[in-house]
Amino acid sequence: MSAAFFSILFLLNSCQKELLNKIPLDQVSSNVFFLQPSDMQIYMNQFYNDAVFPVQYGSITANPYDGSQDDFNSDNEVNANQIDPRLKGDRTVQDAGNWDFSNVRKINYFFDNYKKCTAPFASYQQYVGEAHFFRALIYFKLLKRFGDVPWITTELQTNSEQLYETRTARNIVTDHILLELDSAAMYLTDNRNGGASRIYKGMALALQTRVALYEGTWEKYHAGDPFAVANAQPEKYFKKVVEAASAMMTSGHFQIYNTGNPSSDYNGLFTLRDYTSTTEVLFWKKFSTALGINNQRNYKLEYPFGSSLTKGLADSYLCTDGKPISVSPLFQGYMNITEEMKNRDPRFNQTIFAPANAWKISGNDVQTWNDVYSKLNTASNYYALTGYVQLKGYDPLLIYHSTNFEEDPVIHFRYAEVLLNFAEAKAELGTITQSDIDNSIGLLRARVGMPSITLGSIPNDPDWHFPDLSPIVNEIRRERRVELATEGFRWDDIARWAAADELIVGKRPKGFKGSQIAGTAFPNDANGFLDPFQTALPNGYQFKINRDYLDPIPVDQIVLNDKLTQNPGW
Amino acid sequence: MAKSLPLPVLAFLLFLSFAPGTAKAQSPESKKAVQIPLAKALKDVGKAYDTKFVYEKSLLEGKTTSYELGEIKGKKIEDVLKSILYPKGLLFLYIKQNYYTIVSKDRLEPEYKTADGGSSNTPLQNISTLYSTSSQTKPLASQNIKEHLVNGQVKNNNGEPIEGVSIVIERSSIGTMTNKNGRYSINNVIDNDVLVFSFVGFETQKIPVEGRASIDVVLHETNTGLNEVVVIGYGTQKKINLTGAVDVVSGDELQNRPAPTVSQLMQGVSPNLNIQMSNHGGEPGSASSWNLRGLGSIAGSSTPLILVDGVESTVDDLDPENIESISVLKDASASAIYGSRAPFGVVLITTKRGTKNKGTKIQYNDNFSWASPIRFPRMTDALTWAVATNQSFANSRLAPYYPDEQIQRIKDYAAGTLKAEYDVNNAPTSVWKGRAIGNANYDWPSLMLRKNSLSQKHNISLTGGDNNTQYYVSAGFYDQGGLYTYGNDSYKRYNILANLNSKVNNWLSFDFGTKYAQTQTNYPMGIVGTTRDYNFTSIFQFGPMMPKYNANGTLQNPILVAMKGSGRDVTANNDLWLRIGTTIEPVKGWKTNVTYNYNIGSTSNNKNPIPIPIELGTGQMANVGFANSGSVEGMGNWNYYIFNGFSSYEKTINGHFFKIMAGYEQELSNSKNLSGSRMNLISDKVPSINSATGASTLGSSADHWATEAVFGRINYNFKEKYLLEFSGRYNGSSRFAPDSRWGFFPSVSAGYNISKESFWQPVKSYVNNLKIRASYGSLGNQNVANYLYLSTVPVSSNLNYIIDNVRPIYAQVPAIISSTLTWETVTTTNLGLDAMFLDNRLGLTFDLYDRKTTNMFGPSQNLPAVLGTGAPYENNATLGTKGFELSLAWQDQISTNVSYNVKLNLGNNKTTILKYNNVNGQIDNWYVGKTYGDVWGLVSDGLIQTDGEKMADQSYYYSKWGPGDMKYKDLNGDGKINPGNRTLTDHGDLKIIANTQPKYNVGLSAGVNWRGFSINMFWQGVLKRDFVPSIYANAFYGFSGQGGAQTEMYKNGTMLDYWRPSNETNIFGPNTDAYFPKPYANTEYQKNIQTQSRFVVNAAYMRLKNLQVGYTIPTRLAKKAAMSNARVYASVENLLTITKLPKTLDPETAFASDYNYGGLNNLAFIYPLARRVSFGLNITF
Repeated sequence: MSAAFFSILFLLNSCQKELLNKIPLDQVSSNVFFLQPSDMQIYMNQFYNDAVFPVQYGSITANPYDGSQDDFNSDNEVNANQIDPRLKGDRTVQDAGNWDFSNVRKINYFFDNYKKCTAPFASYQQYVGEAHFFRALIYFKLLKRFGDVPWITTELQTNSEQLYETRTARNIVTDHILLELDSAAMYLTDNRNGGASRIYKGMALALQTRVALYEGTWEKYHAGDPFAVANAQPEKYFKKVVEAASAMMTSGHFQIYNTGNPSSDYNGLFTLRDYTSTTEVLFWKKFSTALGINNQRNYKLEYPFGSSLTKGLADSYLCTDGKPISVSPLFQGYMNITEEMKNRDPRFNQTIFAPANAWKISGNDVQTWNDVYSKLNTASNYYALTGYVQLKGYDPLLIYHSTNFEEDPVIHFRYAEVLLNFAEAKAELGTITQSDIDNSIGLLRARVGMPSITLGSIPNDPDWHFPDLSPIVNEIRRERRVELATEGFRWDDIARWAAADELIVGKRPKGFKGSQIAGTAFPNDANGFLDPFQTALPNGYQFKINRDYLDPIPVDQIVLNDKLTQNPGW
Repeated sequence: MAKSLPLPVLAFLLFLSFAPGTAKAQSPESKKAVQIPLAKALKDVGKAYDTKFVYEKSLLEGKTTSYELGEIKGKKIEDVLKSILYPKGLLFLYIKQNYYTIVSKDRLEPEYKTADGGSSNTPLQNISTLYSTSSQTKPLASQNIKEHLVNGQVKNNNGEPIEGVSIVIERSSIGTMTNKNGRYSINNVIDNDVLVFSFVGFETQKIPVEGRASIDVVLHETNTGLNEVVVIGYGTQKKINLTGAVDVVSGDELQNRPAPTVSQLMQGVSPNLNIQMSNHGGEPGSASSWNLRGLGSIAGSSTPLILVDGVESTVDDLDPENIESISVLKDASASAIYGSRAPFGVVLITTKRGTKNKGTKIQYNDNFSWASPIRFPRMTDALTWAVATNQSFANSRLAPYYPDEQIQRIKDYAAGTLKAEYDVNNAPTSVWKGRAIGNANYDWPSLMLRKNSLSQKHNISLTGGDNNTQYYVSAGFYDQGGLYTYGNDSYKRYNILANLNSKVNNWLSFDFGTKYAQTQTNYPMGIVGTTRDYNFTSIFQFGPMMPKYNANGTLQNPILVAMKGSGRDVTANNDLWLRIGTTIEPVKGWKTNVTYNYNIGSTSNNKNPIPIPIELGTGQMANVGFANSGSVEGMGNWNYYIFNGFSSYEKTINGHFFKIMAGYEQELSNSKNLSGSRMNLISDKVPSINSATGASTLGSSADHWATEAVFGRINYNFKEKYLLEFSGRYNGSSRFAPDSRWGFFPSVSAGYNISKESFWQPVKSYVNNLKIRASYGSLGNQNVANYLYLSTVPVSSNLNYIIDNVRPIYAQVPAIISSTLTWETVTTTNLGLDAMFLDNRLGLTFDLYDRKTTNMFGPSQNLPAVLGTGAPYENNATLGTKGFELSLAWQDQISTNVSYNVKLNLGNNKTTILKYNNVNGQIDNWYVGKTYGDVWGLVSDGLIQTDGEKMADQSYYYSKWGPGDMKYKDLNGDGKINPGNRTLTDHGDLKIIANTQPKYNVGLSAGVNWRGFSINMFWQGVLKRDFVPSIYANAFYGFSGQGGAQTEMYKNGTMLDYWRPSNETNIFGPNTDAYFPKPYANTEYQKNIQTQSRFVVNAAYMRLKNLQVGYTIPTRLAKKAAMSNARVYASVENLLTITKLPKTLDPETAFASDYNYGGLNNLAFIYPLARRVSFGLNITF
């Protein structure tokens, strides 16, 4: 019978051959892709997303599970409903995040294939530059979480030997990342093009300062601990920071936003409705309800909803004489927040609410924050464990408030960070000059009308977190905490400085004087400061300094590849 | 068919008992070699063989025989009869088991005399027919007590005269029978007599004379089962000759149930046909997933091929009223003819056709039903909820979620001393805030769903035909109302079906069919950014303290506002099928069918997002809808054709029956979709892209595939005793690369009707029929995505990010291709047994099967994640499923007025992985030896009661443990609780704690008929199944531990049974002997609810799916209203559920909704099942 089948089949097959040849109708065959520059453009488009771009400001709108996106995972912020498990020391190897290399694969596919294009290189070098930039960004994220990670530059196949290789040492990975960014800077356009467009050269340089500073300080401050790097060369990286930052600083393209209003320009930057002509903002995310990409920042900041900032952050703000509160005669004490904010760095009151701040403005009708302040800690939407409630990024104009449909733009990268990176690298190198300070931190201080740092006459602060380090490093770290507060940098800074032993372990976040508000939901400490985690953290945070700086590698991955080693302490 | 035309079997239906005096007239004392009356001799033979004879009394009158009873020992009955009857010029004809008819030799037509000298074993041919009506002459004007003559004609369904029908006057037992032309005449009839027409293989009819002188009757055949003709792939076959595992469900079994869809009707009807609800639950119009005989493939689909009149179509688009019969082809031999299309069985649904010579009949059916949700959680009072929540916060050492001040308000409100639902001085300032700071006391689920939702169903059909042309036309409408209280939801279906069969001449006939269905679903859109299913999750996230109203009386609950005011999500599907077929039979026995089916369909979906204003407690306005109004539209259309031609030839030579069939088939499918949206409507009343002014999006997709095949089948049997069948299909699919595109799938099967053997005679009266079957065969599985062998760059539109003021298109990385991918091969061995016992009252079918899927699609290997993508599929795994099906049916008639029936279906199967590329033996993946559904987990060892209690080190899961927390068993005795490497060689303290697959699927139906009344019930259930709730299943745990305040407390739930210390002073008091551990408000809770033996729940259930009481109005009453038949009934669906699950969980929706089993929402809530009370009417004119 089958003979009959076959003979009939032979007949059919000869005349019906086309019937079974069905190629995709709405997908592009990969062998004809990348033949033209526009293919590269649409391929690179996929990397413009919230996962690849850690949203550095606007934590409240972004995925709260990604620790890189707000200050909740640091000593700057607390939440009524949860305590960060890493700070608490409660993480288990079970909680390991994904050992996710899907973005690595995506970007490598580009490099393996884009050379098929026969058009002149100049017509697509922008996209090659973007690819280098994204490869750096993707790997930097892996580096921060896991330390050593396999450095892979081609699309792996199921039989690739690289699947079973060891992790690449973190400094080698960093070197690769920095090289990627060199290439990116070389190919990318110099044109910022409004900042809500495509990646450009300034972004590559800015990221380079961030990566190099991260690795440089990591190698320097983790020396001797389980996370130490063999053949550490921190200075190499600090020099790279200086080189990249200087290129930006001398380009003339970027400027600190300053309209001459010290009392409002700092927060004013974060509440602008558009950053097209604001060059301090290197890159930003645009929202449009018409296009279905929405934000809800003002709505979320309208009430504390359990979120608040810490006394540690509040105490970092200098007095207007440039001196810390521990020594400045201008400090008015903690009696209430209004008093506390008197004579302080204007960024204090542009980051944290005081009763006199405008809360809701509708036409001529202005409500002040006092309405909230008087009810703090009385009901759960007024829960602010520490009393310090974030103002930064909040726009009291009610027309910009909506549950799901705000168009407040979000800043991804800003120039201020580059200047801070520059100053810190110079200080770490020990080569910082007054003019370096004036050209970096000086500009940030000028915006808020604060005196700059004067090298050689930095007032001694008995409360410096790092008394073993030089005064300038201490002050630059303070400046960074103040300027970048709530923007999601704090945990990364603590990690690279290996500063958890000074800042986290055994510490308990405190708030302002409990006596100034009616709400009594949370206890005070012996000095009258709100001490919300008195029972939850009787001995303070139990962060494990020999373990918690890196994430564990998922156990199943170690089973699949026995050359993978687990991170220290796990 | 031609063979059965002038049926020449002269069967006289006068049972011996109907021949009064026949036996009495003879002397019972006759002994030894004397001549005894022939009738007496037959009676003795009948007794000895438990056989009955039918003959005309006059035929035997005066005839005697010298045959002695003693001589028959050890002889076949045929031989005995030969020696008694042949010498007297009489013949005997086999009618059915244990029935013979005796006729005069010269009344047989010559061609039916058989070669062996007269005994013909030709059985009566049954013809599957549908309807009959009696054509009768009008009654005489006045009744006459005088005896008179009645004459008339008796025909079968096909309008052919039947010879030998017995006609008896019920009053006197005087009888006669029909002649060759089906004519009869009977004397001594009085006006109010009743004539009883009976004939073997036909249903007996009682007809009142009512003064008539002429009565014509149509008899219809009984379905004794064995001679039933069953629809199989590309043809039909007598059930007795089947060698494959085929289950048949007749339309009668499904009739009159108000279940909306074929899927819901078929649940539990056939053993091992498992139909489960989708993750939309009981939502009107939601689809179901079908599975036959268990899992067959872990990557490709393993649903059976569902064919309606030979073509694959959406089963739930079919009006159940139009179903004539359903064949479920389960093993390889039954479905091999479909090759790669049907690796996991075939469900063949045949729609109704017209019948010959029946005149026109109109039938109208309707049904009105009222639905209410079942096993849907109800919230506890606000105080219970708040106190429990606060306790979890206290356990996490966090401040109370509900401050004392609010607790006081909750108490005051409950006591009636506080009227406001929230503190007006601290009104909810955002849409969602009421649930945190309110003090009301509402049971939101009961406010979300209504208790009486009306559905209605109507169907009208017209059927009829003459000898050459028959038709069946039906139109149906079904309107299912949804359960939402706010914002209606509904499902509507319109069906039109027309079937026309026409015979042009002796050798040519045509078959036309049209089937059209339109379905419409209309739902409120979900709240912004979510689907409508999320409404359930959201409503359950509200505590009872959430205010319903603002102080000024406006609605505050955002879900109710959103459901009430939201835009609509409206989908309409149109599905039109056209069929033209022809049958050519130029030579008797050689039949060729050519059929072309064309399907054109379209779907459209419209959503109109709109802003939904909502007033906050503060008086401020907010929006729970979209920022702007707009229109989001999608249109799709498809066309599909399937062409097949097959030719068969059959012949019987000396009892050897042969049938050969060969055919060709091709199918081609094309589909296209276009979708777009535009925001900012000019007017909200006119939601269209055309009348919008804002930003727009546009997208499309297209798809096509084709298959081609040649197939064939050879049947052989010898006198229906020994049965043999080969079939096969050579199949090509566009889904695979050219080199691996074609596959050949053969099967062989055999059957043995043991009860047809003469040696079976002694037990034949107990075991009336016994057949054993065996089959072996392989099929392909092409049910994978298209183009897996081609590397393509996926391109999509509308990047979720704005670049240069637009959302551009973007491309993504191609998947690693599977260039050598080819068929999965599914090989099934089946052993079966069919038996009938005790006068065919008890029927048994049993099948055992072993199905192996080789070359199964599996990831090439378990690869490290640095690959950056899932491993591509290769044909490198093997899976085996073993199972059985048992079907047991009993039917009996206690008296002429009372009959009853019981039917039990039971199926079970178990799937094991036999080969899989998991070299490290990771237990979270498939591995060799894994039983499908197995769950690994810790073994619970009670709750910690005292601090410092002796226990293993559990720090792997959390750093701190104390009283109220869970203790786990240290299975490997290393003093530490952990899952090891989660591999087979190192799985720490894990073991297999549960299996979540449904085992022992049962369907049980029973019915009693008494005069016109009938009571029927249908139970469906799963006798063994474990439910392992995911950590998100708040309907079970009550506390989510997901952070935030997602505590959920339900009445009848078990969640309040959590650990509280012995000195507990809150309203619940101590509870140290608790089921649940100490709850936490944050992720710490997960340490206590690790997957473990304590939280494996028995999800077995039996559900009374349907209970129905019906009444058929007596014919004479019906006739007064010009109806030939009328029936009314009342029915309840889902009346009763027997299960050990907590009342907050439903055994069906629990799995459909839970995250662990493919559910949509974290919190495991879903549209519930409904109890449906209905009333219906069937009228035939």
